[in-house]
Amino acid sequence: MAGIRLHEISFTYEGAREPTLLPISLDINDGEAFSLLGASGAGKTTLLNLLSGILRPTKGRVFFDDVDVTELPGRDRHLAQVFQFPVLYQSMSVAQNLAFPLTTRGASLSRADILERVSTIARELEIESILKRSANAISLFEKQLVAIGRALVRPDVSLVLLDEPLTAVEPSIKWRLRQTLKRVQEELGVTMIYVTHDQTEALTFAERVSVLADGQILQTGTPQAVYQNPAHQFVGHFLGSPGMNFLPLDVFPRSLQRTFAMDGDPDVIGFRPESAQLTAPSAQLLVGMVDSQRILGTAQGRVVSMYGLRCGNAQVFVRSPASFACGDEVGIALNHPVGFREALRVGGDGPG
Amino acid sequence: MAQDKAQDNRAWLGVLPVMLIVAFSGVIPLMTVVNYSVQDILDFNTRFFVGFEWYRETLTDPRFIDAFLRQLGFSAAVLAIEIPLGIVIARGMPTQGLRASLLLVLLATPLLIPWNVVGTIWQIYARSDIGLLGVTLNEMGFAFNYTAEPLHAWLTLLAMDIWHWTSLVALLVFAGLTSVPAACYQAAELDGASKWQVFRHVELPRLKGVLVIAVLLRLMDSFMIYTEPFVLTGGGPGNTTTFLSQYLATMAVGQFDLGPAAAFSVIYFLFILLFSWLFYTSVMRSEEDS
Repeated sequence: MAGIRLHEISFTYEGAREPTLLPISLDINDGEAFSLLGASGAGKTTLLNLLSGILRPTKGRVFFDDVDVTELPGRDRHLAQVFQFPVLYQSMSVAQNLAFPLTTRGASLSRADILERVSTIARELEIESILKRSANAISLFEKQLVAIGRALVRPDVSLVLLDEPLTAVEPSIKWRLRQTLKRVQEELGVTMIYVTHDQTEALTFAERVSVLADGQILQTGTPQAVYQNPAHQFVGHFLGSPGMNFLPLDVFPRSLQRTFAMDGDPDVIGFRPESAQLTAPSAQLLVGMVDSQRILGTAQGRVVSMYGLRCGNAQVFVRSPASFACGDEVGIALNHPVGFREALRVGGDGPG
Repeated sequence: MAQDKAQDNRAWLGVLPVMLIVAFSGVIPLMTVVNYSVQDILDFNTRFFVGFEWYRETLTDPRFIDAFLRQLGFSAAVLAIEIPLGIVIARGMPTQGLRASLLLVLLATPLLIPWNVVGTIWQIYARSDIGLLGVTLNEMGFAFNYTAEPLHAWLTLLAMDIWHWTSLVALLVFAGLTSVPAACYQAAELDGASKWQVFRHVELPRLKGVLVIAVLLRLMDSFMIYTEPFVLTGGGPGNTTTFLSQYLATMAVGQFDLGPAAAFSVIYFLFILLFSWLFYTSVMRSEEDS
């Protein structure tokens, strides 16, 4: 097991003009379930390859447990990886697949130790019944479980990288694999880095999440913190469905603008669709006009709708059990507004 | 019900042209050979039915047995060298860029040369009086003479076949290797697999399909080899490089022994079929077992 430390690592592909990763520093604790979340092209895979030793950082150092592994090849870093599609040795049985990493590079484990280790992992992943089957003859779900098992089987594995491991799995059993992963991570206490573009996967798996965009880490924190208090507009926009609403300061009434100004002088105010209430309009409230309504379902006996509202030139979404019709003017009371500085915009809608 | 049947019959009309073409170009010529093989043909009008006489005679003919054993030896040597060599070449090839393209063109070149030209190239190349290879070897102190020494003739033939056909194996394996996902190599690297283990457990299982094709093609082709040894050694010295096809051609075209030659052809054909079938089913069975 190991803590991982990335110190100011950056990476530029050979011949590329722009760096793929800007200098990144990151600490991941020993035994932590960590997640790297970002859209495709954000630099997730590059960062993963830097960790697994396929790529060497252009600048910066990588430390595993305070040992500088920057120049070490992947095989000497004591890590394992689970890929998007299950990678198995197809001519071997499931048990042989699980045992394989224990038999390479003159590993000193005895036969009995190997069998013991394989059966421990098989028990953990509940795949004991398929151990004797050919790796070719099992379902995709089972294959990915075996691939995870192979990643975990080495007792000296310090880090398991998971590269969108649920991509190939049917949606209906994704949650099962996710729960298995989470449980195994907790029980074995292995450091895991889970790379995904799927916010649900990242936020449910990880103790801490890093959100990546344009080769930078925008924010690192607990899922709760990243969701509730995004440090950048992109993070607020990227997480949640729909994402956070953003409004320029000047659509708010004067009294509110003064309150916001005391908290860091923001240019833009963001709030989540579920952290606002719709009431009668008043001079102390943000005011908007309802221009769409979509019924989401019922909660505690009341119909909950997602309202689209027009505030000045911007559109916002608010989830509310209140009942309004299109064209109604309503007051929007914000429970948890978050202020942003315009200069910190990153992602699709900024100048990069 | 009756309607269904009428439709079925019309469908036969649809495949009739194909059946006619196949019969005209394949079945009837083959059956003609089978027909010849059970007759003693003296001239166009005089022929006798002799049953399996020619088959019995061919299978007990020491010259046939010798040619057959030579053929087996040649095919075995060709496969034993070309398949591993092709794999080694394919694994060593760059996968991208100008160098990869140039190498592919270079590899494909021998495959584009007609058989008799290949024979002629090597016939001259290996000559001990004027050939580059022959003269060089002699200058280096080896008394190389493929027209007199059976071993030299064999080595020259093998070298020629390897020169001509290893590319085919290499190209097939190269195509097979490009279908191995990068993640598989990466996983093996992180698992600490040795180079041999990567080949054995990552590449070989995924090359199985193309290797079956490569072995079958090289087996059948080498078993039927005719033009190149005909041009290079003419079957000599003595009969030491006379393979089945050449013996057959001598019989059928040279001596016009149509009956025995036809029996020979049928046996020859059945052997190729048998070897290919044995190889294919054994590979496919091992697939099911694993």
